[in-house]
Amino acid sequence: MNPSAPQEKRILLIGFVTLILFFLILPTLMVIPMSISETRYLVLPPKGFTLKWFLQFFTDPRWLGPTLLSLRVALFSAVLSVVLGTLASLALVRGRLPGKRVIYIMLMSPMMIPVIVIGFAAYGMFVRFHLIGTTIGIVLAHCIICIPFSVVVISANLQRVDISLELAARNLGASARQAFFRITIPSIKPGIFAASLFCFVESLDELIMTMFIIGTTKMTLPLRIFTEIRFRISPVIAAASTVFVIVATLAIVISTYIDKKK
Amino acid sequence: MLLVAPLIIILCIFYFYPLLKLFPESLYRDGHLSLENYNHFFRTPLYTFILFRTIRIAAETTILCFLLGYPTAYLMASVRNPRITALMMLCIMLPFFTSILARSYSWIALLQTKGFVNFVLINLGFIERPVRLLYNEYAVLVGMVHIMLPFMILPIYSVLRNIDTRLVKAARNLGANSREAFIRITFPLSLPGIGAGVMITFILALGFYITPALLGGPSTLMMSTLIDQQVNRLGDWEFAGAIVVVLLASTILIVSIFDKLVGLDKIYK
Repeated sequence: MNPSAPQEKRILLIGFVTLILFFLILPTLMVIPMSISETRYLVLPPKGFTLKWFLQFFTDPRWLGPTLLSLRVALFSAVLSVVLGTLASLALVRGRLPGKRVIYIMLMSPMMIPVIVIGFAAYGMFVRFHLIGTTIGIVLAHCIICIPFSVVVISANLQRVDISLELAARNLGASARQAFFRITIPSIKPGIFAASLFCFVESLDELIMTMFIIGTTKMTLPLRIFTEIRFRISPVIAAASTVFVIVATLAIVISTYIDKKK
Repeated sequence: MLLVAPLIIILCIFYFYPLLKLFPESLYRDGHLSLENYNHFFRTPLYTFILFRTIRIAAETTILCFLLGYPTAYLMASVRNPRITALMMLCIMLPFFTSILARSYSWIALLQTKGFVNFVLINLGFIERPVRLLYNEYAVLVGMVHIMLPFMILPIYSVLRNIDTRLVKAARNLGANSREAFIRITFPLSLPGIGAGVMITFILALGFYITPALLGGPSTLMMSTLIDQQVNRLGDWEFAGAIVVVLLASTILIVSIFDKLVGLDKIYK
C-alpha cells in the first residue's frame, strides 16, 4: 500500500473543511464591509468609507425605537426565563416528581414545534388577556421560546453539582433557604449566566412570535429589519446586522470566559 | 415540588391549551362544523405539493448539512493543536450566535444579480452575464444549510471527541487499515451524534420561516410561508388553522419516528 495515501487524504480533508468554514464565516462577516461602504451593496472592490449608516441606525427613531424596545424585551425575557427555568430545574433534578420525563419533554417541546405553529395557536390567548401590543405580551411570548434553552442549560449544570454540599450545610445548621442561596445558587452560577446569555440573544433575534403578538403600534428590531429587507433594502440593515455580529462576538467571549472559570 | 408550578401554569395557558385547541378549531368553516378546511387542503394539488416540497427541502437541507458537517466535526475532533480547534470553533459559533435575519440579508447581497457570487463566476469565466440566483429553491437551500450547519456539527463533534482513541489504535494494531478502522469503529460510535444532529436539523428545517420568506420567491412557498400568506395576506384564519395542524402533525410524526430510532433524550445531552 502506498504509505503517502493517508497523508494525501488528510490534506484533501483539510482543504474541504477549510472551504466549509469559509462558507460559514464569510457571509456572517460580510455585513461589516457592507455597513461601512458608500454604495448600497458590496461592490468589488468596496468603494468609499462612511459611518452614515451607523449614524442613521443610532439616531433615526425608526431604528432607535425598535432597538431600545428589543433590548428591553430581551433583558426581561432573559431574566424571566432564567428565574422560571431555575425553579423548574430544581424541581426536575432535585425533587421527587412523578412523571419527570413527561414534564421534561413538555418543557422542551417549544424547541421542536415550529414557532409559527406556536405563534398562531397562542394568538387567541394573548388577545383574550389583552396582551397584544404590550411589552409584557412580547416578553411572555419570547419566554415560551426561551424556556427550553434555560431548562436544558441550568438542569445540566445542576446535575453536576454534588448534592452532599447542600446536605452538609443543612447538617451544620443552615436553614433550607440559607443552603439554597449560599450553596445551590452559587454553584449553578455558570449555568445561570450561560442561560441568560442564550435567552437574551434568542429574544433579540425573535421574529415570528413577535409578528403575531406585536399589534400595530410597536416595532422590534428584527421586525424592522425584516420589513426593510422585504420592501426597501436600505444599507442601514447592514449596520444593524453588524451590531448583531458584535452581540454574537460578545456572547462568545463571555461564554468562553464562563467556561474558563468553571 | 411546587417550584415547577409557575412555569407549568404559564405554559399551559399560553402554549399547551392553545395547541390542544388547534385541532377542534380547525374543524370550523364559516362557523359551521365541517371538514371543509382539510378537504380544501388535500384536494388542492398546490397545497399538497407545498407540503411535499417542505418535507423534501428539509430532507435536502439535512443531507447537505450531514455531508458538510461530518467531515468538519471529524477534522475538528482529530486536530491536536488547541488553537486550531478554537479557531474552527469560532467559525462555527459566530454564525450560530449571529441573527438569522442578518445572515439572510448577507445572502441576498451575495446572490443578487450584481452580487459577489455572480462577480466571481463571471471572472472565472463560468458564465458570461449575471444569472438570477435569488428567489428560487437553490437560494433557500443555501441559506438554510448555512443556518443549520452548526446544529449538525456540534452534536457530532461532541460525540467524536469523546470516542476512546485506543479503540481505533487497537483496530489498526489488529490489522485494519485506516479506512476499515473508520468504517467499523469510529463511524458506528458516532451514530448517536449523527442521530441528534439529523433530528434537530430536520425538525427545525421543517418549520423554517425566515429563509424561505426572504430568499425564496412565490414559487418556493413552504408550509410556514403558506401559513403566513393565509393569515396576513388573505386573512383566512380558519383555513390557516388546518395548515397549522398539518404542519404540527407532520412535526410530531417525525419527532416520534426519531424518538423510536434515536431516543429524544439524546438531543438534550
